[in-house]
Amino acid sequence: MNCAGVRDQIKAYIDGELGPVMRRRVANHIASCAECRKEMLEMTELMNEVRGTRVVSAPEGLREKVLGNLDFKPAARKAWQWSLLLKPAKVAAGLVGVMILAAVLLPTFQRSRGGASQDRMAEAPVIAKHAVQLMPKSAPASVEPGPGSGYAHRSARVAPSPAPRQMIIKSAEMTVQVKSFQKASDEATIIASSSGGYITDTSATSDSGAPTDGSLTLRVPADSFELALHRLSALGEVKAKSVSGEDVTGETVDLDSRLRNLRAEERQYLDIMNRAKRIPDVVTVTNELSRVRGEIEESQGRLKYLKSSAAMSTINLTLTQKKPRPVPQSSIQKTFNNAVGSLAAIGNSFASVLIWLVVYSPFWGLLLVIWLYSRKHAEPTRT
Amino acid sequence: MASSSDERKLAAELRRGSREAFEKLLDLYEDRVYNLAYRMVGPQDADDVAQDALIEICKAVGSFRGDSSLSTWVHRVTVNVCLQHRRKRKPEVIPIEDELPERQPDTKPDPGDMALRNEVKSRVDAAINDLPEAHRDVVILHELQGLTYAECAKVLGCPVGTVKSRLSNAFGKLRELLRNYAAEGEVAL
Repeated sequence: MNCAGVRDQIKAYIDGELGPVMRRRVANHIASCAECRKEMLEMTELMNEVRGTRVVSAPEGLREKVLGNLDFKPAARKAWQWSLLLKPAKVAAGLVGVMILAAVLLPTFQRSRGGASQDRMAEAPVIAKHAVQLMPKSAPASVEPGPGSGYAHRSARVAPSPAPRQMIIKSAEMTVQVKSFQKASDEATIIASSSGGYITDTSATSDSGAPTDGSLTLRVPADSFELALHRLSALGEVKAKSVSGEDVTGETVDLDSRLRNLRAEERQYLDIMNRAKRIPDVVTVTNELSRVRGEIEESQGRLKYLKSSAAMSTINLTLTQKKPRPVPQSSIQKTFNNAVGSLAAIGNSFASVLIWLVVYSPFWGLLLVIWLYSRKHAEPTRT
Repeated sequence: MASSSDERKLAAELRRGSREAFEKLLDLYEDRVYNLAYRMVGPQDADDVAQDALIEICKAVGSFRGDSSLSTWVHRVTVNVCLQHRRKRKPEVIPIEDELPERQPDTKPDPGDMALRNEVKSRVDAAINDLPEAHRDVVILHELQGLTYAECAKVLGCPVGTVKSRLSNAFGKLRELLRNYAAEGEVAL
């Protein structure tokens, strides 16, 4: 397989989207071709950058607009209930009336129809319960649409919600001693990308020249967490490893139901707002609405944070490069090495002297000429 | 991400028309649908398109038969709404093949693009935005929305091989664009 063919497949190779035969062919080529390996690393880095770009959150109010366009508006009977809600005095009066009516009529029914009216007897407390629920400022947990709404009829048939899915925020710290920091760091980057994750932070230190130690923070999908850890362990010798998990299922469930209740409360206030005529009512409802919406945002933010933290696990990886250790030697070997070293040192000294002699050769020549000249001129005086 | 059994249960609840189920659906997909719309049609139309897509999803969920995952189906509906919007906005559709021209002819500065550039202040974001639409769509679906090649193919209604080659070409183009931005940045300095 040539380089051009491999480069067309590199993206799919990193994504784990190649068939077994092609994957093996690409892997074999990459193992032997430095250029294609470089290409793969560049691709992986670019993928990390792309995946690390900002995720845009939905703007506030989008949900309300969507839900407002769907066809589960409260039925006509509900409007009657909400008009009552604005007037607690009327509710109380109605409730007392219903109770008196029930107290007067029920014994009569019981006498005239015997045991057949058992079911109807139960209606009185039911009515009373609804009347209590209609009071404003009712506890959010008990807020549900009235019995007349179509939505309530539909939701009554909904099967009980399934057991919540476990939400665990997983994280790991790992220190691996590797032969080459650079190579292991590249491998870790590929592992992050091929697991569907990315690198968030990197740092490296070096004594001199190429980096020898450093750390990387990987974010990988929770499903790939174990596999990514296993692949990272294979980078070298694992010196330290700790895995921790924070179970946030309970908190998520709580937040979910709190959100549901807050939204129900918000819907109620919106309904009241639509029917409010007096300015003080509007002001009061507006204040309540902004409080409820603030709480909704707070819960939503926390829930989003928990869900995203549980969806992507964090691995803090520290890589240290193995330092070459001196090989233990026998005394004969040491003597031999010393002798070789000394011979080399003598050779070096001779070579140095020779170099000095050669470099200063013009000077030696000049000295020789002076000496010869002085000798020639000195001889006649002696005779 | 919801498991397939969770998705089936949610789909059943949605078919019954429970408001709670729709709220759960919005909890799961509101951000992803908005993000997809934001990337596909740009920030100026994202609100309207995401709203249309979410309404369409809620209304059409009865037709979801579970042939694919709920997530893939949600993405398909959203992509279709985005594509419809693009067709309305830009009637002259440029035929998209794997061999795309070096640069799209409509490279005159688009205020939306400029706004996005200023807003996100990121070369990578700008480069994704500058990709030809067909390339941008696969990058968004695979890299940002986390869909597999097969899921991207289902959503876009094209063969898996096309997704693969488009992604490979898209990354080649991204690298080229980022190199150009870096060169422009140096000139500007």
